[in-house]
Amino acid sequence: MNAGLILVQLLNGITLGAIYVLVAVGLTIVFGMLNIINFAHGSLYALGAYLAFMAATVIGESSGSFWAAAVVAPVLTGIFGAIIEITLLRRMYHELHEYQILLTFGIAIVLQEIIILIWGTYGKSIPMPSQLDGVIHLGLFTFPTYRIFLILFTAVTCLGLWLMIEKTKYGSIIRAGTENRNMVSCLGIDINKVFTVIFALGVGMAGLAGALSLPMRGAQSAMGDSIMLLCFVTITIGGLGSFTGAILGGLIVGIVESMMALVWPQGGMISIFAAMALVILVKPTGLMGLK
Amino acid sequence: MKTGGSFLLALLLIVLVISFFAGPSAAQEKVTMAGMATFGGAYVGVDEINRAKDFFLNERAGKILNKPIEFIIIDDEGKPAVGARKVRELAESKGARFFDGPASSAVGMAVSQVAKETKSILIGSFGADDFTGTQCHRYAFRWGLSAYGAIQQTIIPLIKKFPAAKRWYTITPDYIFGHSLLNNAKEVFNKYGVEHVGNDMHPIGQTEYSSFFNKAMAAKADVVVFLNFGKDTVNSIKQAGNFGLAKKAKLLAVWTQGTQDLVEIGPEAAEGVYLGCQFWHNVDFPGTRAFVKAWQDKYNVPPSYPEAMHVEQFRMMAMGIEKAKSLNTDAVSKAMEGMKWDGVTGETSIQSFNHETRKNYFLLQGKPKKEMKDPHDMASVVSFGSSLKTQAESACKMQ
Repeated sequence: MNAGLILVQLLNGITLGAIYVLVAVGLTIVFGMLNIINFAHGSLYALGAYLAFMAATVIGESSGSFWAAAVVAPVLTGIFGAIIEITLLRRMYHELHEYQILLTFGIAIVLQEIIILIWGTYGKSIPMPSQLDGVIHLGLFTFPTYRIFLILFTAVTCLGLWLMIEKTKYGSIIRAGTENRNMVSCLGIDINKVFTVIFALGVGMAGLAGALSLPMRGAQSAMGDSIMLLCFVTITIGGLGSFTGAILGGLIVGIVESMMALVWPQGGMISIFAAMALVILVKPTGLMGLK
Repeated sequence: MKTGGSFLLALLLIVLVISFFAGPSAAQEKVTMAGMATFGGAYVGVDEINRAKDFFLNERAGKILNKPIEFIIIDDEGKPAVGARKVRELAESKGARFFDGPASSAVGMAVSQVAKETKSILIGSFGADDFTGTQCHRYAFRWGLSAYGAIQQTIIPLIKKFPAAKRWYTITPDYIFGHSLLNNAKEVFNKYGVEHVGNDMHPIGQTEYSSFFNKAMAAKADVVVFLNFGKDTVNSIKQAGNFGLAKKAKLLAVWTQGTQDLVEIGPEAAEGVYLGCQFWHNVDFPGTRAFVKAWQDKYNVPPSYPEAMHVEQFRMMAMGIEKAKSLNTDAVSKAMEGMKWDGVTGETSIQSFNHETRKNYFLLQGKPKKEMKDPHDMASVVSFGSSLKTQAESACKMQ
């Protein structure tokens, strides 16, 4: 095993982590701010991938089709999320977590079946965007340009999201709403609207991750199941509801998965769960969690 | 009174005549057939089996030996215990005795034991050699070539085509199907003096393969061989395309689903990749031409490997029943032994000593997009043929 291989595997791990970060950030925003555990998040990730495929297909074979799809998919997924929030979730905010889990789990199953009904059981894929199709040579190894883009894009997106939540007026309303929704309402702010925006934003992130993973892994109806499991591990490691924890957790999961492939590929998932167990033992709230 | 008596007599006659014609059909014997598929996950195949079932029932006008066919599709969930339980339930509660096997070797091997116990005909095309090897029995038949045949028909032609390619790397799913392919591949590597420079095992449903590509590059592999199946093959080849692996090594996927996988992979990533397949629609055999035309007339697209496999396996059951003129599975099994026909992959016949089918296996190569004549013309045929173990080589002791 040489240093080059370890370096490339590390890059790979960060790429995997980038996808997990995008999905997990959406999940953790919804949990942290709405106190809802959204079990439909994985299916919404899959929906994002399929919507991106649909958009790319409608636009046709042009160099801009991927970029258009990467914009359309998260927006449509976010709108779909807003509809779910307004029609279903809103009635559940005051209920026990068990009811919320049942509802979102039900939504996940229905969504997966809708995907199969519309797009069938065959997977879908689109080619790499021509601008990012190629590899960067790292000595003996090559690394896809698209994966480098994915790492950078995730970093910029997370920074933008963090700035929006922490540094803007609307962000302060969101944070205040999560602390005391009645007080925010008394100030004349429509808290229901704020919550709808938060849920749409979180779900839109899942849709964005689905769209970005499409040229790399394609779209498959059951793709939400595996990512959902990893995202729960991610936010458990990082700390439930913690934005920075989701980023840290995603990167840890991606890197552990990737590095384990060098020594014990079958043990990738076991190692991820072992890492989670270790974090829970040492710091039950997760690395960045407060509660 | 006399008139009334005649009337009653006439009525009785009418009732007798009606019951003569209507009665038997009400209580008529059915042919209960069952097809197995996985409704989700890496081996999902529910659409394919449904289309194949409709095609077959239409072709047979819903009857075998003039008896109506009752067709049931089982979701084995990709789990051996579930598949075995459902087959046993169907055999015991509905008297089903004709089963079209699952995609997964693990499920297939579990179901094969139930078929043996319930004396049910099981025709499968999953890879595990043991199905018609150490675990063979009189009710188990294989249509597709086994792992042995698939390796013989893909790796050997490539070794001959590229004699300078001496370093081979394998990527294998960690279960019975992958192990069967890997064991056979190792034997071929040894026999032909090529170096097996590395192997990675992965679980079913693995989504990320990039780590394995880096290891293959580090091992300076000339050929990277994928011994996986279904979504795993699609994901691995697609990602190999992203990594530009095809520019550094030749890629071979030993057991693919033909058009179905190729469409998912996309022509860009599939270009130049070698793919083994049990069925290819674009070959010039009379049985293939007739089947492909009938399928396209019905569905407007060429059939994929799973669709062709199911149709051929349903046809094998029907031919066996008709030849035996009975639904008795001992008689049907005997009738199927040595059966010959013009199948969907050319001339086809069943070996009596282990119930394996002699049929063609195809080695394809992904075409450049600009050479495709239609959206499904994604590969050209490099070679084809059949490889079965001889009676002396076979581990089957037929019971």
